[in-house]
Amino acid sequence: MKLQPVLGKEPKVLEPTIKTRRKKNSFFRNLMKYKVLYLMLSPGVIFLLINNYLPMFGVIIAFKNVNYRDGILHSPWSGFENFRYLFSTSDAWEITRNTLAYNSVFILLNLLIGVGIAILLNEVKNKYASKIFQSVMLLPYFLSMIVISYLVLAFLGRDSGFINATVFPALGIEPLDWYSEPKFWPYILPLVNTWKNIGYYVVIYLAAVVGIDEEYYEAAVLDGANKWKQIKHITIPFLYPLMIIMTLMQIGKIFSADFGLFYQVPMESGALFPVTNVLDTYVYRTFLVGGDMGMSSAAGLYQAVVGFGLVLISNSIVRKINSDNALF
Amino acid sequence: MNKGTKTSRAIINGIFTLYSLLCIIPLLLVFSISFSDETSIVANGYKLIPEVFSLKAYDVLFKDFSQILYSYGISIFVTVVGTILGVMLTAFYAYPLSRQDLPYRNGFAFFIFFTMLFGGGLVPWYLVYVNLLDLKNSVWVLIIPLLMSPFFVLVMRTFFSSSIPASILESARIDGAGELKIFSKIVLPLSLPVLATVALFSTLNYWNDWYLSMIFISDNKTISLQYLMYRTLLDIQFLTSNSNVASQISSAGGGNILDLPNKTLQMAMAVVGVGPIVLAYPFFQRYFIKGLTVGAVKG
Amino acid sequence: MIRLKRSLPLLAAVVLMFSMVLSGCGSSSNNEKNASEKNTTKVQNATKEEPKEEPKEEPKGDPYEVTLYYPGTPQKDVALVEAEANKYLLEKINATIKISAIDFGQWDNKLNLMISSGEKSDIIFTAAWQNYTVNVAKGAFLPINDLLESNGQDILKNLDPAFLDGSKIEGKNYGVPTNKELAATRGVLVRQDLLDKYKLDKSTVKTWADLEPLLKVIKENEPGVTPFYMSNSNGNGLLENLDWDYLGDASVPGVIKKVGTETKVMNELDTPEFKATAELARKWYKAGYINSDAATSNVFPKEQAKTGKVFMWTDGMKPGKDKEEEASVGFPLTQIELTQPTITTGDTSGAMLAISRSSEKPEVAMQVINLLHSDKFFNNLVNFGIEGKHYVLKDGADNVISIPADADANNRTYNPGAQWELGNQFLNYLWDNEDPNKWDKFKEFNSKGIKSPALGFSFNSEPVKNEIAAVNNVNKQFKPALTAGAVDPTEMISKYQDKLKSAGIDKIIAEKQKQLDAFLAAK
Repeated sequence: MKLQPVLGKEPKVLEPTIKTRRKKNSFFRNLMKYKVLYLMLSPGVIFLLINNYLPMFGVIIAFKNVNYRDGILHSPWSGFENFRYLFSTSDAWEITRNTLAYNSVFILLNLLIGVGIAILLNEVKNKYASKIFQSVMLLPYFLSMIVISYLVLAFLGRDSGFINATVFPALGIEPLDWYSEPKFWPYILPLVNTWKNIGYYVVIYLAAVVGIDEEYYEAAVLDGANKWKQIKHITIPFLYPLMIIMTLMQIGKIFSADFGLFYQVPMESGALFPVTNVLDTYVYRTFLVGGDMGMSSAAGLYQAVVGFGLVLISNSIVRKINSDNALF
Repeated sequence: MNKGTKTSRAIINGIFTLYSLLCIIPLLLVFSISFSDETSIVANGYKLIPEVFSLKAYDVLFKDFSQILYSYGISIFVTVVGTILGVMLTAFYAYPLSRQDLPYRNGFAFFIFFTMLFGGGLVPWYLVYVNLLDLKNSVWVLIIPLLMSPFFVLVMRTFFSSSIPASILESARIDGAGELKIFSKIVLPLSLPVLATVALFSTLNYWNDWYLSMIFISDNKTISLQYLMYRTLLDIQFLTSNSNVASQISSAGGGNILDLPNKTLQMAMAVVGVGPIVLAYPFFQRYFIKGLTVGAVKG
Repeated sequence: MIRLKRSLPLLAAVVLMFSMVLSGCGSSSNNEKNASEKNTTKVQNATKEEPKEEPKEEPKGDPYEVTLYYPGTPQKDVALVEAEANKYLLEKINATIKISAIDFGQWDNKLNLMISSGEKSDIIFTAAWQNYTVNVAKGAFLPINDLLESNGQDILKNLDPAFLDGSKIEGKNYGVPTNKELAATRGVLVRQDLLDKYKLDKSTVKTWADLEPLLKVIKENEPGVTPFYMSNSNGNGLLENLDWDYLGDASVPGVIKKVGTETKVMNELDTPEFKATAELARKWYKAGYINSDAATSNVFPKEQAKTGKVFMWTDGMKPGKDKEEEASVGFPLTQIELTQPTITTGDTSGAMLAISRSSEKPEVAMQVINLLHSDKFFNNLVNFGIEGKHYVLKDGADNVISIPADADANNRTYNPGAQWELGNQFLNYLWDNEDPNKWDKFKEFNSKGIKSPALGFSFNSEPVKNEIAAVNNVNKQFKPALTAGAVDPTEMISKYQDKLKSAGIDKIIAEKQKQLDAFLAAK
């Protein structure tokens, strides 16, 4: 509603000529003609303004030395001081490394295992069994990270955990302190992540595999191609576009970690921070636990800017390979 | 069908049976713990099948059900209202974007797309909700932030522009139908699959959310079920200290030897929290799988 | 590009809207700020420049709601108590009160959120071990010296000046210390019933290490009971009970010895005490005496003890501590003191009520604190609830209370057990299980305390704010696990040390030394 007069004024400022008047008229005509559509857009616009655009102005906090005497807007500027501190500790490197490394592993596993299982599942010819497998695999995807951390605790708990109390004694292994031994978590976290999310990727890749025309395979069989060759030369090439899209979408988010996975599943164990602290948990902890707004914002801005850069880069690479698959 | 394929099929089936078990066993473990006797757990640890069966954990849990019930209510309200509003908002934004003839539509598309690329971060975002909108401790703060996701706007827009023939819209317009009528009578009914997909994802997002409760709710009351589970995981006392269940048991037991089944109670809370999802799952997973593929293939 | 051009008007419109929203928000926060500035300057003017001119109180305006936040278990009947308190406060100072207890495990997070979001709040509990100086450096609390003069006369009258002097930062007070024991010792609270059951003799215990045989017996005979319970970062691990003077804020590194005359600020990791204690904790953890989730649990020992699954935990000791805690824990307790009573700045600021920067009427908040410190009825109402409902006065006694006969003794609906946080303990009623001479013993205890060489010094953390934040991040990674004994100290301490060095601990310690030397020179 508010948009109307504002929209009308703007072009005049830009080009005060006769052309503008014509433009202005057409602008108004458009506005009237499509007023319903613009009205439909307006709630979304308001939402985005509040939820996304307004906070963007908050990046100034990263450049301030916030104190509550003066309030946020009037706190003194500190230039890049917050960033200097962020990067002078080993934290910055650690959280960047963890975020990128874990996400890369996740992306790779999602791709390889997702496609692998989808192709295998396509070989289960019993429709009923195939449906059941698919459904069961998707089940973990529906569980919240809270539930997952319960499940992980049930396995890894120090005293009563299934592994320490049931599996290890049977194998004659000493119980382990899972939640204070950092060395295991680079394996546990990818395992948990894959366990939770793989069903989603399987369903999507499977839909594509099923969609491949049977004729291609029939022709291949006539040419004497075995199963492996069929997969290599027909199935996978058909999946390429989808694989690229799915991977690109994840690469675009490679600089933001799954907060729940890294915050909940390790039960916030301090000893595990070197291998579980990622950008998102760092931003959260510095702000909410440490109460350091400036530093938290600095880390947040660092994340946003580098993330932005990574999306642009990965997108331009994909556009070079195949412009149809680029996001923009 | 030769022998080779038969064995390979058996192997494949075997692999999937095994993997399916892997998906279910963790849930089964939690389920089993919740039905175990606390002393046997303390002595011998968690087992897949209860060594000593006991309903004590549930007994204690149901002694004071008020917070659980309340959180259930919050979660259901948030999920239902959030999903309805969210799908509406998404469709309202996506449909105009799908209209090739709408002036400035690229501007609006960029407007939402840009939010996928860049954000202000946690701190300012938090301050907007708490200081500007003053929504702390309100149930609405559990709803609003998750209303619209740019990704689903894009998915829906793609569906609208690719699956609804422009000719139908054109002929409706010639018949004198207004935009709203076209949208509600033609576009929406034709788009049920994508609406259902977005609704399902939205439901899942709302139901599984704990983050918003964690940062925005400080009164420990208006919290979602997931957050209640989180607090119980960290601190079984969260359930019991408020309600004095512990003392009730101790007085019922006579002496001061208190027997609060901590570990099993925790897992019982998990079962109560996850129960509805697991029970409802067989009924809606079909739609979900269908919906997923709509989004993926067309999007 | 063409596309971009076409969307220019839209973008322009959006930008315009932003600036409208932003300027709107800017100006509103401006107003708020001005308002609060006005408030404080008004008070300051009133007291500093022209003490005669009272602040123009709108005496019969709308009553002001004072919010009170303290860490503790939320109580069921808090609304009833509030209603009762409001009746009283409305008449006395035209105010109402909103009492919010926040679980200890959540306190840090919620407090940080509250402070950083500038949410309206009035009275907030704070303490040397609760980031007091850090929050002061951030400007979260108002300086209260003028307010004390204008609205807190009774506090000044009743409170031992050592409290206010000791908790000063750069000559200003930011919190009203609870009027309680001044000296402090550390020790453990032990379940008396379990001691009796296994005929354990607590008089054999003189040092922390002497506790071991007791723990062993419980471990072997009481499955499911944690012999020595500790939780993450609540100051209840062995490593957090060393005999240090933390010089004002335990969350900032750099300590001196409490007893003696040495004033060299040390990095505690360099000390043999730290190492030996870490090894003791490791030994206990491996033996299963310490709960396995000690490094991650946020459950305060006292809360955990309510479940009956805890044998022993550490706490600050004072006369009658065991009986005071017994009332809220629900099991018979006894205490073992393991350090000698000392007085440090940290002890004088071990429990305080501060006034938040976001308070709209700090003078009313101060009036409420004043009442907590001077008004026996109000103090006991907040601490024990409503007479006849939550407690009854013993026949003939004016100071001894018991649980009402018709109340379910095991289902107490108002029993915060937070007397040490709220106001003046010397006003508190005593439960009938407590020593009737408790307050005299307090006084005796206070006089026994050995004064730390740095008593009265409080570190100003402003110059090294960022280093402290970085060090705290490192602490979070190493300290809980070391304290719990969950990791091997020999290799962990040196790793911890390296990280602390790169986070700038040396700079903090140097700054602390500099400030301390200046303080000592001035003395």
